[in-house]
Amino acid sequence: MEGFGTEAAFMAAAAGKAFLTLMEPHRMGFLALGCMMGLILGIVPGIGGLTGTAMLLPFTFAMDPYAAFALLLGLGATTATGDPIPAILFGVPGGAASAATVLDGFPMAKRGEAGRALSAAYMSSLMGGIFGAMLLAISIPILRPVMLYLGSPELLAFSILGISMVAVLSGSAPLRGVAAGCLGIMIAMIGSDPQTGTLRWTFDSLYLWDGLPLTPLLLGLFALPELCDLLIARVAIAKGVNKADIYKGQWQGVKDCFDNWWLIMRCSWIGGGIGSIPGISASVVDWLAYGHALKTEKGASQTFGKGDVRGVIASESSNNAKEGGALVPTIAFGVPGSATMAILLGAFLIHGLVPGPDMLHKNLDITYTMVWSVALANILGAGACYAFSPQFARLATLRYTLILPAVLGIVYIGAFEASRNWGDLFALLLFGLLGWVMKQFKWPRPPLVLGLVLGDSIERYMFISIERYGFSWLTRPVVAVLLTMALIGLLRPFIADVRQQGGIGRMLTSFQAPRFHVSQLFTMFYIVVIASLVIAAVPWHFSAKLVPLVVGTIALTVLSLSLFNEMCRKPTAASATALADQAQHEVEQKIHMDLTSDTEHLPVRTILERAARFFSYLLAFMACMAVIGLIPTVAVFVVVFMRLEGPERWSLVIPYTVILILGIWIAFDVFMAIPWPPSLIGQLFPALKIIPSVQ
Amino acid sequence: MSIGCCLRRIVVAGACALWAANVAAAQDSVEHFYKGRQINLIVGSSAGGGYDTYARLLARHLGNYIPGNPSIVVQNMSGAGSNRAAGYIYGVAPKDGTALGAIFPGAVLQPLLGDTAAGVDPNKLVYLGSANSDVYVCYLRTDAPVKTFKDTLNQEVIVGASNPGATTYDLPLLLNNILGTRFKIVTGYPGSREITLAIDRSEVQGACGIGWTGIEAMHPEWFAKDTVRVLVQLSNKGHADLNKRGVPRAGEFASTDDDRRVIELVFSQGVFGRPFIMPPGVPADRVAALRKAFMQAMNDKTLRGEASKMQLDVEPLAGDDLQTLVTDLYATPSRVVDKARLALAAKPQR
Repeated sequence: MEGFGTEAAFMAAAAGKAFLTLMEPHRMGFLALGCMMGLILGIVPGIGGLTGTAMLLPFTFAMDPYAAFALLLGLGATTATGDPIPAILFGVPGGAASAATVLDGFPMAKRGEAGRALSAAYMSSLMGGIFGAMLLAISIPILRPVMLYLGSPELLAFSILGISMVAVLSGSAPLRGVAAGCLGIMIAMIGSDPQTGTLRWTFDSLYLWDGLPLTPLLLGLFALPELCDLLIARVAIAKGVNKADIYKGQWQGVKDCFDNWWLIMRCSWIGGGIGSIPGISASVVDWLAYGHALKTEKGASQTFGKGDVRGVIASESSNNAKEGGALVPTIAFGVPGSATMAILLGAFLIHGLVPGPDMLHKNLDITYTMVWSVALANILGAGACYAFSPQFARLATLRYTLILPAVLGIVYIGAFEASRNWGDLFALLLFGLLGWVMKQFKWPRPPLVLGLVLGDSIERYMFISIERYGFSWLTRPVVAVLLTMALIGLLRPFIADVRQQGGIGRMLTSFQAPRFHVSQLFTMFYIVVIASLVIAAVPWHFSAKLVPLVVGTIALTVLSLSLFNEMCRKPTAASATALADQAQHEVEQKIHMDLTSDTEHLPVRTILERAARFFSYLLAFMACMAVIGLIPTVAVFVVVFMRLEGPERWSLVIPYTVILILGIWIAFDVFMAIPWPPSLIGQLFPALKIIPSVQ
Repeated sequence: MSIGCCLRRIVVAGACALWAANVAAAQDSVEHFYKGRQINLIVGSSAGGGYDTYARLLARHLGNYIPGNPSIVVQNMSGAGSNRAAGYIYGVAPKDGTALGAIFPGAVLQPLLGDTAAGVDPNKLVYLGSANSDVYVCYLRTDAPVKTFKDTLNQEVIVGASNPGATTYDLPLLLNNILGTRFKIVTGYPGSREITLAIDRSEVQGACGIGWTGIEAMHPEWFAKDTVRVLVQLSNKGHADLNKRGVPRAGEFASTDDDRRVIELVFSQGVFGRPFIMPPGVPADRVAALRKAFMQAMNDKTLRGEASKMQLDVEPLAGDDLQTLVTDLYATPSRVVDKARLALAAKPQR
């Protein structure tokens, strides 16, 4: 007991010393500078903190370690604070870990509650970031033993538990959800396989060797469908919002966070916990937290996805906590929990620090300055966001002809930034189309992302576990507990569903002769895609095709069931029961776990025409880019779009274009130094290469 | 003094003057070309990785030594084990000396030893030099039953690996197939840091094919407390420190001359651990100026100071030497190459 007391006193002393050290004005200055850059990088979709941190690193050589980490962590910790702004206002996730924010944040903005949603997002980011740092601070003494206990089988079990969230995130369409999850896993398998080096589904393209990058996929799946629907509806995102509402909403958002502090606590622990496990991508923490909230919060299954503030809170509190979590393996073992942390590891070495036991004893005060830096960065970041929040919130009330061109242009460049390849743009377009169709036909998209991110780690750690331990790893206690939880999580909703339908016998008898509906075409198309992928996989080496074939078979099975259901299920199967039962049934009716299009009032013909128009713009954009380069294309696109769709007046179009292009040029050409692809005019007239992005 | 002698002197002096003038002119034209220009350094990995760190280090200093002091901008183009960047430099980038590339050594050897075509002929690339040479090693936990490299011929030992094509997988596989070692290769770790963590928690007993540089600095407790031991060096010449400690080199265990040549062929990638390249067809005077600047920058005091702070080993290899080395590698008899290909293509025994 006495040992514990001394230990605690030692920790407290180190934490106190660290706080005073960090409070020096010049260090706080660096922290603030890092925060500012992090916020800006976070708001622009597609740019994360990675490039920023890599470029800042040399400037920290001459600083003392406290100031260096303040600057780098300030930047790293706040990129997630800026992320929800485009997510809430335009439905465009600002980073991989804020895709779940779109689900409730965007409907709130549409309802005119952008101020409340933004405010709740900042406040939960702030509280989540601090809780995450607190978790790190108190768990320091047990970090190393815990991390050494978690082997590959445990990582596998964590990943499986994560993917079992598919059941929750599929809402009222479990079969479609599982199919989407399977497709996600199969997409994750694209590229060089870690076991045998087989090039899986790469279609002879170098672009696919390392698999599809996440950013263009997320932007395609979530951002493009919203932007497309905006063009179809031809209205502002939010209508009839006045200034007073925004300020009132801001206060409401803060109150929401304090009312739901326990939810924030849990979600930030999920974020911090997952972030601290090296080898599992933290880009799904938002979905895991969202799924958790959906399962545990009262009434959530009726209101989530329709603009429930708790959805925003769950997602945002988890993704800000993950940066604190990612520090854990970096400090304790030198294994970075994220790409940004890998750069931080470089900073460690420059300042003569060696990750490992020393960081938890001899250099404990430095470790605590990092904890404080993360916590303070979150406060500064959220504070800055509050200051500008009313201005941001008003963006949602602008005409679509003002919003769309800038956002689309930035989405394009943001997607291109992922691997600086034409492939990124094709992936964006393809997944944009897929996302839009899924949204129209009410296929849940979240399971696809879950499968996409976790598929790779499940395959990796499954092979390692089996190769290393045979099947004895299944009996490891943590593995057994996690797998049981996953199994329950997967089965319970299905069993509940079966019960509600009056048992399996009833379900099997309420069928009719097949009927055809247009939406079934999509299911059929889906079956064809999966089947062709499976057929292409058959000749591969056994280890390379094992997971793809198993997952593909599951997908084909559920898809066939789903198709059969759609065709042959009696639409009135449930109404045969008594009236009271029916009322009960309606209450229990689960929501469609995704955004729905609010374009249903329009005739199908108009929707199709306008959607075709939207995707034609995208195609024309790419064709134009091949000819004159990316940045000039954005200029042309903005002008053409505003004149054709508005028409906006020239006195607005010209300054708008100039400012946008200037911003894009500074951010992407000067700062990020993106290697642009060759364009036709650059090749024909090399003198034109002085124009930014013309090569 | 004969007239002939005088004449000869005049001719020689004239030639000398002409040569000097030529050199000066070349210097002038190189300087003229680079003045106010920007050189793009395309890195074949994403920001923050080891190759990127070396490239950014070089980029901060190289410009000072190139006549005309061009600015140097690092651009990341990751993908396909740096084959994408290599392909870009080979086929797309301007051939006027304003594009450089930083690629993985594997991308230089892969067309020779691998079975996937990336559309690059490494023999035709122009090499600027290499920033360091890496000595790969096998190390094991001391509590593993295997104590010496000879033991691995009779007893199975579990090593962690990332994926085929990575040294952590290819090198133990090569040893298994050529020397008959019994490494059980557990594949799928995302990178060498994760393998290291797996060693720490005893999930695997060791690893084969991790660069020696920085291991001691990153894991002082391993060697101070003798929990991990270096078994063998996977290098043709070995590392000075390890040679001093008497750690054997794998080549010594080859039973035939061809086996030794196969091993040396595959290990040769360690000699050019961080290669920098230019497209084929860059004017010769600019190539010469850039190669000279590369070596000067690599020996720059500030660069060395920054490198040692970041625990980066700098052991430059000049561009001409690297060019000759690559030419020699590609002139290896096909008998040896085929054997090496076979040894690397074989799947591990399960």
